[in-house]
Amino acid sequence: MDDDSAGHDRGCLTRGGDRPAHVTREGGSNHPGPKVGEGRTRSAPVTAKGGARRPEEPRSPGDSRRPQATPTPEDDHARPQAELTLPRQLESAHEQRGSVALRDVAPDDIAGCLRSMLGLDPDQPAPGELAARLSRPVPLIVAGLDAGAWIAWCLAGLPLFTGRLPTTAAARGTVNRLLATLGMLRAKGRISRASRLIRTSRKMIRAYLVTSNLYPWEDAMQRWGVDDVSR
Amino acid sequence: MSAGETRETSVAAVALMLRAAVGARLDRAGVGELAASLGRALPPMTDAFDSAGWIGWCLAGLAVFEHGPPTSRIAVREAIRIVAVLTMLRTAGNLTHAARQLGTSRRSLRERLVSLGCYPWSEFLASCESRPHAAWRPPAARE
Repeated sequence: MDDDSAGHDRGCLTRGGDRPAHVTREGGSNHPGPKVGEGRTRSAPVTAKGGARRPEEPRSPGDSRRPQATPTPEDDHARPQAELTLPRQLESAHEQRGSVALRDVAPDDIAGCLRSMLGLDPDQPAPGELAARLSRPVPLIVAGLDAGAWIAWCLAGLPLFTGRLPTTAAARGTVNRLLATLGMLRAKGRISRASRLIRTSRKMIRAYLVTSNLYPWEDAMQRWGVDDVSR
Repeated sequence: MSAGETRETSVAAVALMLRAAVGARLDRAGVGELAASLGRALPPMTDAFDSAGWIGWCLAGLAVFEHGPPTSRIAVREAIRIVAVLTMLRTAGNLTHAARQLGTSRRSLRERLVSLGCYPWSEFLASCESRPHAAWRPPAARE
């Protein structure tokens, strides 16, 4: 439960080259990802959206992450994106950047996994999948996917797609509830910080939490058995 | 109207497979994942859910959560987009039926589709077929 324990702020979600010194690869035995220090991290230029740490948020004394990208010879993450082969880019999917687990994934592979999981032909796109690709091309590689949040998105969609097709209101309500909860979890229960994280008002977050019976937050965490809200 | 294929699926198994798909640890849920079940416990078993529509939902989520957590406005817009487009596909472009399914009015659905660049629907589908990235063809055309 510590994959994004400290990365509650958007500012911690640095993309690409700034591999923090404290980064630990999510150590499951299920994936053959790179080890920290093996120089397998990918480095794309740090974008504005990736977000540098905000100046008003000083680092804690124990925070030893490197403030700027200082490519070292052993770090091939200083190489341009185009130089990295596709498998190598995919290897970096297992990298935990910043404090939130961000991964690079191939949507086609994900789609194949989902089809296999549901007992569909993994090579044959299901008709409903077309909805995801219409009006918006899906990239070959999705860089820096917030894996935990995406899994939550998928799980929240399960009840949504049970029975009839979802209504607009149901989809909106599900997403708002999901994001408010996600923001509060990442913000360690601080509603102001959560509102900055998902860029909505405190009032709206509180309304979503009340609707979901998650307000007051601390009481709700105790009720749901999440004893340490700071995780 | 073509109904989606429905299946029975264990939510726990789905969560496990999703973790495997993105290379996350299998033995524990991340903080982000917890957001799905807080406040509204997921049922242990989801029966007869629209598997194809759900895959589309998941794929749309990849773009939503690229570069970290999105703003609520972006996420809601994407959710509505995927639901609206999916419903239009299922209703074979019938605006009236789609609006009824979505619980909205024809007018607001049309305005939404216009804002998404999906209206007129038939022209939109034709343009999608002609695009190189649109390797998938609409179900009706494929058959």
